[in-house]
Amino acid sequence: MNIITAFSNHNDTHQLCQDVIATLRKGSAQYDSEQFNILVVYFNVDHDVHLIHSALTEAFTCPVIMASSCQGAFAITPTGQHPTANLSVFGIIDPLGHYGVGYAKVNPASPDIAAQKAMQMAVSNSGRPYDAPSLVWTVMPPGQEEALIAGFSQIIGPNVPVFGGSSADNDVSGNWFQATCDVVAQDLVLVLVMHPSSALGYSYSSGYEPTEVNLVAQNCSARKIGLLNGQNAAHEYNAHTCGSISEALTGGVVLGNTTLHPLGRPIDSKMGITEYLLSHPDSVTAEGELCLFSTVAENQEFVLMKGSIEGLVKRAAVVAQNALDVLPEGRKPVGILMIYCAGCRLTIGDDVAAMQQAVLEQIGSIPVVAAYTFGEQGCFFDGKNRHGNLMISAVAFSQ
Amino acid sequence: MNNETEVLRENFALILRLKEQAEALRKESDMLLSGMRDILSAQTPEALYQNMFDVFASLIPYQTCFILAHETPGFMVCKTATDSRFLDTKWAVDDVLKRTLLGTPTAVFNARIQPAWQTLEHLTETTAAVLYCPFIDNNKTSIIVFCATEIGFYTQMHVATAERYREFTEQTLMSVQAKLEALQSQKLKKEREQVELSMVQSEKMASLGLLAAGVAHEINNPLAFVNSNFDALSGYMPSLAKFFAKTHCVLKSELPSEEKLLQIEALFNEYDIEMLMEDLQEISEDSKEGIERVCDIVKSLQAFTQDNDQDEAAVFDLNQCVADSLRLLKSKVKNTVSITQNLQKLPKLKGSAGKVNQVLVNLMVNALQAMDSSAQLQITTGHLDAPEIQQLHPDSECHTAGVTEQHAFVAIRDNGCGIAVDKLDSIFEPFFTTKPIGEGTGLGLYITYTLVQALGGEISVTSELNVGTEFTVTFPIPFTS
Repeated sequence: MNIITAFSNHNDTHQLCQDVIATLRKGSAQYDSEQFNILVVYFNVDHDVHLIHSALTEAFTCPVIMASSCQGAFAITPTGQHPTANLSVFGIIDPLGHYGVGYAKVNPASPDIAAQKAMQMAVSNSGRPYDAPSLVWTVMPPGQEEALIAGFSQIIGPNVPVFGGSSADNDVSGNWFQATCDVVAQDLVLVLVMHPSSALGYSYSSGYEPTEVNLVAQNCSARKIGLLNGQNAAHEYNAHTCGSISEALTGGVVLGNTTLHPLGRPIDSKMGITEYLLSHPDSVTAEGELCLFSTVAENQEFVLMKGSIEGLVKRAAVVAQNALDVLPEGRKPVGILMIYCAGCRLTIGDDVAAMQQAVLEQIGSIPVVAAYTFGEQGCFFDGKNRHGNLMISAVAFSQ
Repeated sequence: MNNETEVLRENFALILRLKEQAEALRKESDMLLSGMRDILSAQTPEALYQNMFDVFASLIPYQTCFILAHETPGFMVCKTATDSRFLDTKWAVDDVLKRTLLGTPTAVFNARIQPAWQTLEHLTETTAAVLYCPFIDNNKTSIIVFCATEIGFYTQMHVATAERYREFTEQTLMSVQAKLEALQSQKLKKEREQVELSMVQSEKMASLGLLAAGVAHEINNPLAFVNSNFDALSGYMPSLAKFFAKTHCVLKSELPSEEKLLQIEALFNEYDIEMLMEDLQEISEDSKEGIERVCDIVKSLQAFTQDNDQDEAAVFDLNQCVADSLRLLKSKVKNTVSITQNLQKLPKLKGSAGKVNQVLVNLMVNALQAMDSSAQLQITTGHLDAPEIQQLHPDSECHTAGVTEQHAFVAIRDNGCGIAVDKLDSIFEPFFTTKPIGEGTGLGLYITYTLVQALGGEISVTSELNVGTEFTVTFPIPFTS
């Protein structure tokens, strides 16, 4: 297995694509098999998705899975890196591996059906239609990720690790995209099933510290919390976060205000270490309900988390290293595919370059592509697939 | 500060994760090792497979486990299963099974969509996820199949375990194969012992058949002259009866004693009682000798046919065995063979006299058959010390261990036609014979060899064409002797 990464930050979309295509071709030419098994593409919606789609699908005959990434995507190649490139591509060359892409339009009324269809298509296209995949990489439209994960498990069971992220735009206006070779749309669930010829390592983590504040959510509806500890959710949250959302207690977007104070759901692992699945408050309703980027169950117990820009900057390197560390002994890492929460990315702002530098210093010149997403899917040590916010994940490939 | 705490926590979590992986591998290794011991301790093939399943259950959870073996081209068949419904089911070799047979363990997330299960729908009611693992059994690739009821139960983690498990099973099955072969070997050994016992009995009966005419002759001769003696005795009876009757009359008469004595003396002379008494004495002695000869022959036959194999305390007198064997062969050697015996006094040896007699009779019969005119049979018994034994049986194992015990030997030498050098190495092999077809079974010397081995002895042969052959049989002398 070999991984070729490519990026371009050209402002001209045509040139953007040509740069990337040239890099990919040059990279693949050094191997006996020049054929990519799959291209995983992340791009900035400032560029025309259709132009990028047509350029790449005309240049390469392999399956493609594409998604928009908030304000560009992170890339490290052997010859350079960019933390927010307008187009970043992760190409897998694995002649002995098998990969299949599937997709389906998500009907809000039955997201699980779309997930099932996409998964069935992916396993069918993989060339290994009956085998349990090593890992599933997914792209989802934000909104119903939990139901989509449940839909996947109805086809292949709950034990195959699902990683990926929800497609993102640059301003949470809903201008996100998903695409495969066949289709470009804004409400697709994409599935890439992987049967790589060598081992994978993965890690799913947040960069946050639990506080001593425990909160119980009530009057919940999908992704809205009416009450926290029996009090108006917005007021209670505001009280515990030093007035972080005091400007929006009767309604408004709070995405940027809450990034360093997410709600964490304790996930106990059999090893005794508690991990936290984060939920990111993104807005407040006129009634003071707190809206999140993930679904909340009634009486859900939360721990108020706290983070720092410094922590978010350093966190990606740790998660990438963790994924490498769990590769079987003797395996040479050849690439890392990452997800970094768009909320974190927006919070650290220009420090995104420092975040990339930290990754580079930690793992060396291993090719990396990371997307900035509006929701992160992955699995903790307990092996259960989950959807969270403000999370970072990494999947390491090896030979 | 908070960030450092979080990093430490993350590192701790990673260490625990790696530790968990390491412990899982160690646990797996321990199970494999203990499993190997359990498997190798099995006494029967059934117990062996049950132990295998038990070991695998601790490594790879399953609801049902079964083994597919090759049947006909394109199909496999379930040979062993934890669920009897799977037994003897026939499986079309689809892409998944094909890849597994080529050496790649495979996890199927839902058996209900896999082609191989399409004709076995009733079994998919309790089966969803399946893990196939190849292993080499009897130099053929078979597949062990683990089934679970939950869709997608088996993951790449199980595949990795299965891969390690495949290597283990191949090694285990090599051990298992050795174990099965050992079990089979024990069975074969018992069967071989039974066959050999049967062959020994057959050969003994054949020898008896061969000896029967001579033995009958040997018994008939004394019986004939005993019979003749009794005829003569019968002829004397009337004279004796008259003599006693007349003597009785004389004794009851009123005659004076002197007259009675004179009349009895006259009667004594009239009936030639003195000669008659001498004849009776001779007849009695002859008959007694004849009866004793018959008794000796019967004893020899009993010694030849006795079966005291199970008696570990049984002992034999080698010289007595020589005497018994010669007695049984007496009619064959009478007048035509010159027998020289040089028998040294020997202690009792451990073993069955019947077996030794059979050995000696076989060797002597062979010797007699090898000789024509001027036949000379030389029988020698005596002691041999360790160097002499070493020289006599250079390949014998009992000398390589440095054993210095004394041995007794019996050598039977003839001046017959001899055995060609190129055939000497084969004469103790079963079905080897130099006799014309139909005249020899080729088992005589093989059985002789087997009997000597069973007695803890050794047999060797030297021969020169047209000069003669000598068989030497040695027996260890027990230390208590």
